[in-house]
Amino acid sequence: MDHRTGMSRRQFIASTAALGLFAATARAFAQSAPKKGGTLAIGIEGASTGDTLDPRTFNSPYWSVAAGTIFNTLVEVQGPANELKPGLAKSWEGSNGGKTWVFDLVDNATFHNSKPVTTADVIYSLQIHNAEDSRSNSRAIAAGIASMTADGFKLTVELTEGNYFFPAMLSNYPLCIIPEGTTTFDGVGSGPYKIARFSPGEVLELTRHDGYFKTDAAWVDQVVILAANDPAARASAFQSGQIHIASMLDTRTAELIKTLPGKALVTLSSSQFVGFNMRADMAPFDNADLRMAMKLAIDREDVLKRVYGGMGRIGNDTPIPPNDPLFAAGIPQNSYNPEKAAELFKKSGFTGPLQLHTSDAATVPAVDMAALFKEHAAKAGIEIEIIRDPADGYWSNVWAQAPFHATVWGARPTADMILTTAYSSASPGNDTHWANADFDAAIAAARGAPDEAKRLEIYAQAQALLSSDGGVIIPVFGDVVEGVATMVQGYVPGTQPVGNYRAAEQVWFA
Amino acid sequence: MNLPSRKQLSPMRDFIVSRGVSGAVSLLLVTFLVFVGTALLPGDTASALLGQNATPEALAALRRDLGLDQPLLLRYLGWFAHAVRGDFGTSLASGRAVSEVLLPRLGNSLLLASVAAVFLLPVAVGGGIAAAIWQDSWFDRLLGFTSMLFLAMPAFLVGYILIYVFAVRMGWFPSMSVAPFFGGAAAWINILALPVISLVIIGQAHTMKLTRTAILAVLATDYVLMAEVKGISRRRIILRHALPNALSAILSISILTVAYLIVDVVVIEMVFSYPGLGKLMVDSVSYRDLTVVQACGLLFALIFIGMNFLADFLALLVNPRQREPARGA
Repeated sequence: MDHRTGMSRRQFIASTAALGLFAATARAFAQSAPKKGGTLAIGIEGASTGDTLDPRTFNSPYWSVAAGTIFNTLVEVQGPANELKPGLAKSWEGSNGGKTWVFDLVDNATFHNSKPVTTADVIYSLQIHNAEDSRSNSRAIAAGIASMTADGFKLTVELTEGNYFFPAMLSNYPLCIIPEGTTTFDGVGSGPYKIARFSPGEVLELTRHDGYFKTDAAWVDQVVILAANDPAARASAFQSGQIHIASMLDTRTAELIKTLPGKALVTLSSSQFVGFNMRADMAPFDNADLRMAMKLAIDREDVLKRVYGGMGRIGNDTPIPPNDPLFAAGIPQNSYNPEKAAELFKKSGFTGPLQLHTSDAATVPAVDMAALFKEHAAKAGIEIEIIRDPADGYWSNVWAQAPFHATVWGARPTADMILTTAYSSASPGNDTHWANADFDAAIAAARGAPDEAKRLEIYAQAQALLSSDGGVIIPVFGDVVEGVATMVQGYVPGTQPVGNYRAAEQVWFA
Repeated sequence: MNLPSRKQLSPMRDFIVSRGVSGAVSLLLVTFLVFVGTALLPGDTASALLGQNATPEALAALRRDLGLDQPLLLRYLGWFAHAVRGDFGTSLASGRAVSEVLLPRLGNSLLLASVAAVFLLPVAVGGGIAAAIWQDSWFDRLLGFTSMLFLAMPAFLVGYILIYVFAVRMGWFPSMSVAPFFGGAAAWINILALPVISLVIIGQAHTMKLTRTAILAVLATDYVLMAEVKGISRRRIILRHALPNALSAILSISILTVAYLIVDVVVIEMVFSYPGLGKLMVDSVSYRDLTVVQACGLLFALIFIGMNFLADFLALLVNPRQREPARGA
């Protein structure tokens, strides 16, 4: 994105924040003094008429933001560098190689039903995710807990193995705290807003929780979270002023919205990515030369320019984007080199066209990117045949199954989680079926390494392995573009939608 | 005098019985087709719910919980056995009772359709009559042109044009017709405005054309010629003689218009994100929520068949010739 011309103050702030120049404190973007009042309307995708208020079913952008408005997690994440912030836990400390964690809870938090938040509530809220019938996306996190013991407002958690990312993992939105013994999930939480009306797949109307434990938060009186699954509906509702914050706008039309009065865009350096998977366990991609040939046969700059309108960051075929503190800057960058790609392709011994499966299910960029990839690869003498599959059933019939296909991964709370879930050989989510013992050993070692410098070093090795040998092509991390009305003040962009889920408690109206 | 047979005595009852049976058969067919159609789509509720997080174990467990591991025919029969007793089961996606999910949405759809009908019918029928009175005038031609234009335009395009003009440019109405935020009944007017205008624009062409044709057909009859010969004004002929005779046709047209409205409502609800039955059905298809899709399909079919039945029944009522048993045969 060109920031030299016509840059508004908000864009300047947002873009410098994205570069990490602002240590994103809660009020870094304040343009006027906070004041109470008003109804904030947020439009976001991922709602369904089948939605419930059971945190174990939260699994969409809509529910991440709803959870960040109704509930609290122990730990919160803020800003583009994923800085950890206190939630219901004031502070925390790890010991015993990252196996033992002590959380010091705030003592003045109350639920919407006026009952105080206690350690018993926290224990219950974490345990339910590992219950027999749980389909929580955070089940693996809860399953890693060996035991929890309480002493007043101190909670001691013993893990089955050391993990220095555990506090960050607790910021995952389904791990929100509900009253102990809740079996009828009615949305009682400790968050800044309580539910006035919930109509699944339509709208959530919320009013301020007067007993909220954070004193410098929850400025607006009411919050409305609108189910707006269609990007065109979000864009027009934002243009017409019906909503103040519109999540995930189409980057191709976002530039037009920016020119409207009273509307601004915020770009989130999301670690969500669209990529192409080459199955490393079967022909033809069980050949490392062919995998590398493909990685060098895609013009990443061109993809960034033409698919993402310049709003994004170049990837190096690992799920760690350049803005992540764990990004390995020292390893070789895979970039477009048709000669070298042609040479490796020849060396691999494979001939003939390669069938690339793509689909709207893997988001629109996956379809556009496949078309560009075909052009780029043709210059290296590699023929790609695009097969466009219907969105229906793509995840169950094509993804992780076809030898060469488009994939998409949403942002995870920690780099460790995406590396483990998507690329460790034992994970059911390993969609490239790449198995590398050195890589597995490296990420296990990093998790239990107390020294941060040591962790960085091990992660660099893991990224080097994945980048040079792995089965995934990640050309670009596309920025996520959000619309934020200029009358909304105090918004802190992070890596996750709507102010890392918690814009409702951050903002006020000018 | 010939005694009419029992059958001839009650053509009304005859009509009701035969149409009732054919209606029930149609409904049964619709439920079966909707069931099979939804089941034939790739993926099921379990894979839609779990998405990319699906592991084979989680999928198997969820399928077992939802009863999706049963053969299709068995599931249909099970659904049918409950449905005839008025039990439409629970939503596969949310676990709530289908009726609890459905009824508020049905209410919203009926509200939208009936408000649209209140504006649509006078406009379209009145327009059709006016076009017949001033047949071949510039008014008739203009009306014919605009109604054909809107008839040819896809419903969603009309919706998007209205959104662009009245929501984005003018800012008069919201672009998403979701229930008003913390609002009361008055706010509903704001919400309903654009969907209702869309439905009126889309639906009027058909009704107007048919009304005009029905009246012109009566005007071509001999007794109208007679009236003309006697020097009665064209307006008087139409209002006093042609209109009452065309009434049965216009009544049928009006009721069928309402039936079509219910269909257009599906598209318009999607465009405006209006929380009605149509949007519920489309959303439920994407989650393969069979029980909800089934109930929605059944309701739509019921309304459509019911409206058709009503149209024919009323046509019979207002037309004495169709009501009486055939004489002198």
